[in-house]
Amino acid sequence: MQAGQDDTFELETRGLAIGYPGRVICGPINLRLSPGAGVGIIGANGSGKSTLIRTILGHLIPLEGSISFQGLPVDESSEHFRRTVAVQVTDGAFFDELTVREHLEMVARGHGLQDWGQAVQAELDFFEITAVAGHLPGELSSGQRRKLLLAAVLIRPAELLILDEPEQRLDLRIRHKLYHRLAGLRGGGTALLAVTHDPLMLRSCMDRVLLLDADEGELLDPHRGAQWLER
Amino acid sequence: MIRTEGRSGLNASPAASQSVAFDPRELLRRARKRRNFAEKFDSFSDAYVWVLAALIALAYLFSALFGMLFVLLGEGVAHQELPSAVWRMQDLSFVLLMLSALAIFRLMIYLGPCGLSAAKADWWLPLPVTLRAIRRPAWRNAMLTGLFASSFAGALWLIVMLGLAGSLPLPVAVLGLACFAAAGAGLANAATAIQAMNRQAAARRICDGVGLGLLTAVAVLWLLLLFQIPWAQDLVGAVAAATLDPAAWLFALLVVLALGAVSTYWAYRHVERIPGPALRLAGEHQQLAMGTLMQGDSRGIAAPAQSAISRRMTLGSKLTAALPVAWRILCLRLLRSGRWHPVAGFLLLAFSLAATVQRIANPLSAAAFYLVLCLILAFSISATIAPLVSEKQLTQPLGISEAALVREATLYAMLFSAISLLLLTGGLGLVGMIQLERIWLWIAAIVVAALGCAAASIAHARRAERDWSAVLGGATNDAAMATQLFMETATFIRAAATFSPIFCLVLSPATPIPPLLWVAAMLFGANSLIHVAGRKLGGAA
Repeated sequence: MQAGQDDTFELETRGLAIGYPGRVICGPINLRLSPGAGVGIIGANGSGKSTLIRTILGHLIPLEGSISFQGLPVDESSEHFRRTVAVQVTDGAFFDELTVREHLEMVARGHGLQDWGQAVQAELDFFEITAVAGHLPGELSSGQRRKLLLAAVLIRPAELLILDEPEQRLDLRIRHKLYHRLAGLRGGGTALLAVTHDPLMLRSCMDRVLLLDADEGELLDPHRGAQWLER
Repeated sequence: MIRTEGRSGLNASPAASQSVAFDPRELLRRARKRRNFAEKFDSFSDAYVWVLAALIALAYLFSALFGMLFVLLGEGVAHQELPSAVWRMQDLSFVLLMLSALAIFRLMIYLGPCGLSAAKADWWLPLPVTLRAIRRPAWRNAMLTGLFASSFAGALWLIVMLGLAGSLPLPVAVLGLACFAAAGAGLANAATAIQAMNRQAAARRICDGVGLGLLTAVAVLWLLLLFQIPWAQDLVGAVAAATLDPAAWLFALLVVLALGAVSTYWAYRHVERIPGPALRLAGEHQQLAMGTLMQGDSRGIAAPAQSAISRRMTLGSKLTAALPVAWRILCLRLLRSGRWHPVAGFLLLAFSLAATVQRIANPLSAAAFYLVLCLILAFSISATIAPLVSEKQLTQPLGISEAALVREATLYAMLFSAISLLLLTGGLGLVGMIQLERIWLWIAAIVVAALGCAAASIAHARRAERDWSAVLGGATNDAAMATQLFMETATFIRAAATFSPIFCLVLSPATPIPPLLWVAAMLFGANSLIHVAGRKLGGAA
């Protein structure tokens, strides 16, 4: 299965088998993401969606096959990877003593944004959390914490976005805004790989869908992927 | 202003090709500066409480270790002269020394030793900043942890030596402590290098192999001593004498410092290569270890590994298929999580010590073995039964009332305790440490003790989530703190009280046991009977 049209791949997996020692969950998966491509990953619970993401990020060792990012083996520790790949995979932990604004400031300044103050304010406005910008994470609702995590992913420069169910705990309006923005980022050349259960996301900002339903997975167009989710 | 144009627009970093000169710790420092006096004092008092807790633990352990040596050596009571008891306690102190070092090394490997908290891992590791500012403090913390853990173990070891030898030369104490401290830092450095090379599993296997080799050497030497081989006797005597020789400790310190320098250089070379996932995982382990300390609950670091449980998945499925659901849950938890290991390990240790070490085959030691088994049973069983007695929501899916679940758990705890006590009694009887002529009294005493163990297990399982920092923090003075701690230990004191008929039979085999003692022991174990009868209690014992 392939996503993307040209020969320059942001992310490529070849014969990738995922799972845990002695237990193959899915594979082989051959996935290619070129710049600006958007691939949604769908499947039933336990089909290996999050395991695939964790394997791609190097948190789990592939049982078989290889993964490369811009032609190089994936190495989460490499500065190049950290600079170019933005990841949101967990519910996330927060610094108890830092405010919402300071969390975003850390990411913006850590990525060398010159206009970081403006960028932070823009994200606060976009996710509608300006009112709680001075609050500590312990004072936020779960939805607000989710928005903070997504803001931290989107405030930084990235050539590949990897998201795990970004729609969770977001209201419909914010989801619409988020998907519109992701589609815009894709138009600018940022590749997108996201696990989702939201048909709207597939229709709004993906051009391929990887269905992890059979052993090897199946590549669908977004409309069919959305229909599969709506079954 | 929201970017939608992707990497070619504002989303592209102006510093895209070089490290960003930003230290993410800067924001934390700023946040700490703005804390008010009360918050600053809180962090100071946290450190104060930890130091105080370590000192109090050492003081208590000093007494406990002295007491343990007193009973193991059977001071003032007659002991069995077993032909197989060829070791002296002091001979084994060297083995204890080596095992301590191995335990610290293994702990360091488990802890990472370099780790990042979940927040630091999530927010700092993805930044394209130089990770030196992140890894170096983690390395420094690892060294400090190794140094303090090893110094603590060294202090305990010196207390043991003081108890065994009666006196300890000051140079030995000073050099010994310095040796332990240097060894702790050196082991932490070695563990850091191993973490950077992602060789923790191999290092753990080597540790286990060395430990096994050490115990094999002890067994072989025991055989040689049994047959009175002269060179083996000379070797063991020389090693035992060296443990109290300042020159030997000075030599050991020099060796440890040299090895420590090598391991420090090794760690320095490799620390920058520690991968992010390893730092994250180590942070989780450190959080678990901290939780274990804070909650006084060993489940954090002594929980069975998932891989071990997976290996045993087929174990007991058919065997337990015909059992009622509560018993099936308990038996599968026991078999698959290996929660019988601590009890079996202790029984093996007790029999080995009694049979091979001089003077240990005495009634005081036997009483101590029963007491330790009581504690191990209470902790071990409580880990097995905890879901049934503490998670009320289980009653609905299982279709069993809370009282019935507690009853089954109590019966299981009583049965497991009784079997363990019977094994210990039989083993000690075989060695000749205890006399089993009054067999019916022994059986009655074991049943009463099993009641006590079951009651303590249930009480501990129901309060295992207690946060010790909250307990200590709620105490406003030393007296209140002592009261809190005493309340926490009351459960185990009551369990130990149910062993009083056993203690009578061990220490004074021919003397009749006063009926009042039976009544008192039964009362302390009565909670188990109430659980079995199915009466709902207001709270944990």
